[in-house]
Amino acid sequence: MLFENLWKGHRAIREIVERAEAYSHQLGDDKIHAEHLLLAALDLPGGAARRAFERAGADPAAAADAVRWTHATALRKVGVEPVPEAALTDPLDISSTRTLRGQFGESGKQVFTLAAAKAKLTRTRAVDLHILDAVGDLREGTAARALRELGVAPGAIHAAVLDELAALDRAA
Amino acid sequence: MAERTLALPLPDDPSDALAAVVALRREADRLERAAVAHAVEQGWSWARVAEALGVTRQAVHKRHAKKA
Repeated sequence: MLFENLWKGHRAIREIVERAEAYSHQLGDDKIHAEHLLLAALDLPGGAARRAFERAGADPAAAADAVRWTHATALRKVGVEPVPEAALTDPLDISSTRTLRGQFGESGKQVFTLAAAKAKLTRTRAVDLHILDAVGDLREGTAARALRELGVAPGAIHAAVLDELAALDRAA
Repeated sequence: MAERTLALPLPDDPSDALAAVVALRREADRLERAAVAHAVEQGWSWARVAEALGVTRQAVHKRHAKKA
């Protein structure tokens, strides 16, 4: 995988992938997609992505439900009534994950590639912020629709990430 | 060329229509995983599962063997 070459051995990357994998499993998917990376980034210790998300006007606690709502709404638009699903376990059960190593969906690959490019530009290791920024750049797909459902305006995530990066710089 | 009428309604908004495709594909994948696991539990061979799905035995084994 491209991201493994770019960020090999990076603890925060491993943590995000592990959590994204757990979200993929718990949401009933078999690949890591952009929305799983978003949820994982919002969980990362330090909370930079979480703060930026809130700065963009979105509630991090509502993100997982927004993803599920997005799938359910899409099904209803074609007349299919989804079966209600159990709530996600809290805290997230990392041990329950199957090994999805390398099994990224296209949107997951796209987010990682974009996040890596953004990290290079800013020369910062705030991985969760770059993941969030990359997800915010997506125009279509489940993650983009979930962000719209959460009331995030176009460009709001990017602006919030830049603010958060500036705050981290000032604190350093 | 006249297309056969869709069994499901086509949403006007392309974003909604394509999101429905994603959601249906996701449900189909989940249904496939559950159905294959159930068939294997019931003693079905990989060859029979593959035949039922209309794919090769190798394909079904690769996709499901480690998860079933």
